[in-house]
Amino acid sequence: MMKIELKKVSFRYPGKREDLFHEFDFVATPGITLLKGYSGCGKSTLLRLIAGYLKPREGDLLTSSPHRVGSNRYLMKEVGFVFQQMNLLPLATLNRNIKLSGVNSDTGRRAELLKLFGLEGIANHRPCELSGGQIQRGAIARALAKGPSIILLDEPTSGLDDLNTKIISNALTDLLPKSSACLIATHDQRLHDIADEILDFNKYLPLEEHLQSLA
Amino acid sequence: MKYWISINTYLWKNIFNRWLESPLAPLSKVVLCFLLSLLSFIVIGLLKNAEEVLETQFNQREVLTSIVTIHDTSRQDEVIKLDQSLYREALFKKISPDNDLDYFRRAGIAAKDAQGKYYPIVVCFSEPTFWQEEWGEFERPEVYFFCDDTDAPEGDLVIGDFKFQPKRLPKVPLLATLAKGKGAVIVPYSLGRMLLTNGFSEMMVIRFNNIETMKSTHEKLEAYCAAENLNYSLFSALPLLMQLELFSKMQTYVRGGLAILIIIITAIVLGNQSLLEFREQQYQFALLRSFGSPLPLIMLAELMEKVLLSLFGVWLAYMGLEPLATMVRNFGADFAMVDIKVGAEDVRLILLGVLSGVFASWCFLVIVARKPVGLILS
Repeated sequence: MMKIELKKVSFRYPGKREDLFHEFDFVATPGITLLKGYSGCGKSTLLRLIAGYLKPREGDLLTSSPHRVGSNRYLMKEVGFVFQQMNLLPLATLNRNIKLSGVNSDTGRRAELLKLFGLEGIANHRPCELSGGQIQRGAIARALAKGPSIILLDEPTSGLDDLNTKIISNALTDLLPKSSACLIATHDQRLHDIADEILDFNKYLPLEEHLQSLA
Repeated sequence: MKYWISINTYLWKNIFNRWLESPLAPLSKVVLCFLLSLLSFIVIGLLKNAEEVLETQFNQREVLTSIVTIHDTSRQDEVIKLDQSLYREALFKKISPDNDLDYFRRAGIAAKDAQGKYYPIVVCFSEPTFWQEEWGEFERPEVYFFCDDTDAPEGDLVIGDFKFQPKRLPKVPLLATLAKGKGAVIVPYSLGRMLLTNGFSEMMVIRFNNIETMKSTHEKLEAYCAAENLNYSLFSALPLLMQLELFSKMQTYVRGGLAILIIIITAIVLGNQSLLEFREQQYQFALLRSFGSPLPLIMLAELMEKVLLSLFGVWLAYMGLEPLATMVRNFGADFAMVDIKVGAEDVRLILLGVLSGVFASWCFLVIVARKPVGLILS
């Protein structure tokens, strides 16, 4: 069972004077957790910290993975990440993109995922030949292909129509292993139905204070 | 393993795609290395050529040999002058113990043959160093004549009131120089001493082992002659030898300078170009890193690309030297460049310079590429 725990984590972007997170505590358990909040409140940053793409200035980030957070093995075996945009490698076909995402993705699983996401007919197409929705579905298929124990999705449905959103939310509900922790940073109300837990960042930072910090 | 192959395949596909999309980018890298290498090859080759020409010229002559001619212009008696000359000979032999020093005296009178032709008389009080090797054993006291067949004297030789039938010895170039290209008569000491009382000039031939002893002996000789107020002349290839030495030193500096220049230019130009290219690619590389592809693997592919292109440039320059020389020859040029020969040592030096430059440019890239994935994919 994957457990992610942030203990008194502080983080600040280079060149900034203020911490985005200051002694922040958080625990993510298996299941789907939605991260909500104003733009710039740190949802995406939290996902990047958990993935190890950013390093906390202070505090500890613990997971039940045997690999160090941020290490290549951790990223290869444990993490599936979907970015807001430009998720696919431009020179690789969709099928190859999924293959390149990690060591665990076998041919059978790739075919199954492509079918579930409605991408089987375009598996040999390059990203430049795909629509926005297809790219995003492909990105999620890629993230799930290696069976990761941590799935992090950053605004996976922003700008997508209801059909694409439905395909994505169904796939997440059906394919997500019970032991995996899935964190989704989103503003999309349509994903509320699949969430086991919702973490609202706004409660840490009231609107007035948020506006002030942005100013 | 398959996964790593896939990543590498993608990286190389990306490189080739970049080459196809903007062929000028790899071409400029090749051209830069080609031009720098070609320039260096030509400069090094020309210097080497010039040095070889000088060396050949020196070797054709007796380059480590000095000839000193002394005229004692004092108004002393000739017998005293001869004693002083003998003292000088002993002194010079002490000054220059490690070198072959031959001391000759040319008598003020000459020998005459039956045809009335005159021949210079050379007197040696000590046995010249080359006698053994040139002439082997020969009896003394005897009057000898060394010459080519063409200028052999006819009949007896007359020296003063005496007639001699001289024995023939083959011509020795060194002695022939002193006799101004013709043959000369060598007389035994006893007769020589008598002949020298009518005036003489001294000639000293010193063959040195190396330039250093040549330099120091010259200094001592000149100091002595100046102190004794002797009228002397010194013929030596020392100034030319010094030039050759300077040439060799200059070559070392030029090679070092060229290597440094290549490193700096390659590092700056390739570094700048690579940074621009990398900035275009960094999102893609960050995406690969976000899957767990190690940064060293990505950077290694970048390094290999540069190494490949720069080696191609150097190879082109090396291979292009001969066609270039032929082209110059066809234009009718007659200068050293047409015979440029680049040795393995020079190729290694240029390769080292280019590869060091490439490595330095890659180091700039590595510094930039270390930026965390989370700051790129934001």
